[in-house]
Amino acid sequence: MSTPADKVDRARLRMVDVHKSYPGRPHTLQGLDLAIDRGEFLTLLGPSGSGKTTALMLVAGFENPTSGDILLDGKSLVGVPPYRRGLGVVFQDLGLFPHLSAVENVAYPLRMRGQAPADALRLARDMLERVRLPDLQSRRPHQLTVGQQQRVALARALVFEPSMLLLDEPLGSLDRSVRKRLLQDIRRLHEALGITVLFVTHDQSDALTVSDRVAIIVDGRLRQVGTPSDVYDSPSDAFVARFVGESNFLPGTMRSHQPDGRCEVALDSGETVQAQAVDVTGVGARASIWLRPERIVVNPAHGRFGNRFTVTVQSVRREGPWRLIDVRLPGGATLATRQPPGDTEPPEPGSQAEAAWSIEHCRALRPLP
Amino acid sequence: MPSGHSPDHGSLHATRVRWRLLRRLLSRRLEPLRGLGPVWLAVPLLAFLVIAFVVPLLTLARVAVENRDLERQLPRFVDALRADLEEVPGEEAFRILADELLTHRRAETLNAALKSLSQQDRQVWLLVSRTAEAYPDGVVPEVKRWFVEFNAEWASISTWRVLRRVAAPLTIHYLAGALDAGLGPDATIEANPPSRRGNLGLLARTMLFATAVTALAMALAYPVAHFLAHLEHVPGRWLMMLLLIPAWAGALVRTLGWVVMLGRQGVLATVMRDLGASADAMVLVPSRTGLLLAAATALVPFAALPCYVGLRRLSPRYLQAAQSLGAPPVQAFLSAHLPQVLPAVALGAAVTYILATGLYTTPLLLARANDAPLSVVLFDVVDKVANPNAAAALAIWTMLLAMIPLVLCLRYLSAWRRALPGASVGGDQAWVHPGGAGRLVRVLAFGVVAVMSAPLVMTVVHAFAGGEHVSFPPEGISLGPLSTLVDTARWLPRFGQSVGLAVVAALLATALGASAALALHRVDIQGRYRLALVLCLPLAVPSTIYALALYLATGAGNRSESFWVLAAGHATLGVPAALLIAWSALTATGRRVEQAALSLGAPPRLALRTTTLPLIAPGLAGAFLAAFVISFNDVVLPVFLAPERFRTLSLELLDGLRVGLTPELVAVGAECLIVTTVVAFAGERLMRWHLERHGEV
Repeated sequence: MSTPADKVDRARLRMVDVHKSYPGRPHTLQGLDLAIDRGEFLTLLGPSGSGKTTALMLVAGFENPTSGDILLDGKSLVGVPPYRRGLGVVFQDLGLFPHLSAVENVAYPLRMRGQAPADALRLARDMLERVRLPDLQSRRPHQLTVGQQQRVALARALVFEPSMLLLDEPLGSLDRSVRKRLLQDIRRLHEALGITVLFVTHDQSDALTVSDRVAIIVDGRLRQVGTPSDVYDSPSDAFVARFVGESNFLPGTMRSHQPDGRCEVALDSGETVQAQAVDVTGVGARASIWLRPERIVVNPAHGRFGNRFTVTVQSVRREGPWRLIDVRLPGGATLATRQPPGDTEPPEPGSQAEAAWSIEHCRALRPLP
Repeated sequence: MPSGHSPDHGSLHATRVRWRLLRRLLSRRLEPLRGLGPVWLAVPLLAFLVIAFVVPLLTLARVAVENRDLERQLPRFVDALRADLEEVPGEEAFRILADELLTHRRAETLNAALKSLSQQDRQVWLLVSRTAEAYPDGVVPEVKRWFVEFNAEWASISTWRVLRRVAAPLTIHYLAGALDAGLGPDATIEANPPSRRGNLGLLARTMLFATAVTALAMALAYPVAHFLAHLEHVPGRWLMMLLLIPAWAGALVRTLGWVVMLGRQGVLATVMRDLGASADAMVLVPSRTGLLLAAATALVPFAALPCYVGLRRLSPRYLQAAQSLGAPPVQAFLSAHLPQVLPAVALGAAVTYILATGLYTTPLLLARANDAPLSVVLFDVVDKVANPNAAAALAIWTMLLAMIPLVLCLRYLSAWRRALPGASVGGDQAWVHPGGAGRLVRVLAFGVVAVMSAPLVMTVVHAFAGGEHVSFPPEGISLGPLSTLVDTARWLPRFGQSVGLAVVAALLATALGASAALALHRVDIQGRYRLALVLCLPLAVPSTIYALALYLATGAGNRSESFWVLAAGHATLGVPAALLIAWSALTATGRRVEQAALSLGAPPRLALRTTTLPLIAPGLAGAFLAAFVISFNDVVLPVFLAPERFRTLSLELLDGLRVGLTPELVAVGAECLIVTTVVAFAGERLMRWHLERHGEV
């Protein structure tokens, strides 16, 4: 793999063509190439069983890659035992030592690095204050709430100034509000300390909220790496599109394909849609039209849209401030739409309406098998 | 009370009122019990343990302080002494004493009559017996004067203090004597003269023996537990079997195996002789090395199991976390792993220590005469010296000393448990540790299992080898010995009796254990461990001491109902195993199926019968088999309790072995081993078949 020299310098962690397989099981990782820049917050996002935790365990050193290389600051980590890697890890189940108090847990890595007990405890206390847990330091883990335990685990992974922080779905068991606050704290610490973070999760909203970049992994392969808006607005294939956010998919066939990517797709329900071709080529190929519900405008007041249809309103619901309106195209295909709250009354179910969307938000993807 | 009632009427009324009050009081007292609900299921076992376990132990304690011998022999004199105050009594007491002594002299029972006196104070005993022999047959006008003239000691208050003490119903003489102390003339505790010491040495030797055995057993057990806990596949069943068969084989067969291995004609000695080296160094029976090795390997399974359970419940995550935080493997183990398995290790050690104190067969057959620990001496004290009081006192002290580590351990364990509830990742879940155990651990574990199995393998090899002597290498292989060498007329009835006893004991243990397990399963978490602790109490008493207690409680001489006493005793020994196996079967089944049955309209009893019981049936069979094997292989209780008519196979085998090792005994031992193995494998098969049919619930 050839990369410009300046990128090599900027990358803190680089995974080069990493394979991992276990005997008697399908490949867990199949040629992972990923570079994480210094100070970057990168999220590895994938469904369960996609190999994301395996990737993290390879970086942490609890597993060795079957082939390929993992470089930290340009030096290979393969064969380096976990305790010499100097990476902070927050495990899914935290792994707080139940026989040690919160502050002793945080002091542990410092003690292992030969710090005097008094110094270690002082630094541990400082760190616990930074994660906003100053009063509960002498408690044992089981005397803390789950949220507090997460903060202790975070403090323990950060206190020895690791070159990277690895987070393995540490928020899984929290309810939404606690989780949101903790995410903000993690992000704040990340910015304050300038630390490089590799965050593994299956929760796309977590991933899109905190990350600088998101890497989507499916079946042991990276599908797309990009900023949250890249991934959300310009998915590289149907899988990413389906995995992140809500989507409408309409099956059809390519009718024309221009060099600038503009294409026409004949839907199976009969209509013709103008779209942006992504990973489909050639007239006559099967394609799936993808568009986000919020990109469809029902009864547009003005504006130019590449696609405009008369539709039948099927149902109108509310979700928070949004109106969720399901409409049916003349040929029978159904679209979910999401409309901002407006002054006008919502259309009645059964009535006719106009639905329109622009070409750049409507993408033709290769259908999932 | 209203007037006009006859006195009879009044008392009747009063009785009624009292009865009503009592009933109200009782029902109020029982009110909280009603809330216990499922605990009632444990009541049969609790009642059984009170009768078969608590009462014998209380009897043991009573015998240790009881002092009624003199009262039986000289009843009128003891009566007269009690009436008297703190001074030399008058003419009357002297006359009664003279009369009773004379009666005994004529019946030639003087020595038996003064036995307790002879045990408790030699000088006064000498005085009394000489006086009794010298006392004239004719009429003595002034008895007291005659006594005092015969020996001035009779006028001394200290003589009478001793007599009063020996006549008192309770004494601490035996308890003190077990610690090499006695009561001086002025009722102070003093050290015995050197000629009458030896008990402290015996106790110390016993403790030292148990400590050494425990230390060695733990050292051998930890690698095995570590290895098992790190197996990739959760059960590793066949390896567990390999570990458990030596445990199930019973002390007797195991010890026989060690004699075959280490005896004068044993495997090691013969191999050394063939190599031209001196064989004497390899004759380890009897010797301290051989004894320690045999005793420690016997206890390895018991030491390993708690460690194994502790290690299994420990998430591998802690080691990973420690390593990611910068701790190298050894340090990670010491700082993150060990503190958390320490409770399990300590519990294993405490239980092993009690078992080591109770070892009987191994030291009996392998220890040098002056090395014998208390469990071996105890029987001699009862049987040869005929001094049950002294034996009971020794047993009480030994039991207390043996229980100290367990009590400490349970105390700190509960503190530990409070400190680490659910906080340990995954709670009670079992973990697969990735990567397996290191090579060193693997080699150690296999070494330990090999050393444990070697004597058993040798026993079987020799049994098939036959020949006139037990020797190595075997003189040929044939199937003959198992049938021809064994005198069926001698062994078959014994075998039948052993099986009959084991079936009765195992049925009893399983029924009581299963019912109590249901109680444990249903009671809430807090009460559960406390109740389990109470029900497993028989584990906390060394088996020899329990045997002695049972022997004393059932009347040392009266052995006509000893089949039932033996069965109850064996059931008591089998109950903890049966209870724990049934409990784990229930835990594996869970309560959901029964709740489903209840929601579908089955009343509680029917729900239990149609869902839970069929599901745990293999567990109950396993519990039965475990209790069966415990009874079948036990020799301690039969040694103390079996009458001449009722002799179990193991008892016959032990008596044979005390005379000397013969091919016939090896063949019988091998047969016992084969029975045990078949039963164990049957149990294992049953479990697997059950799991395959129902899946792991």
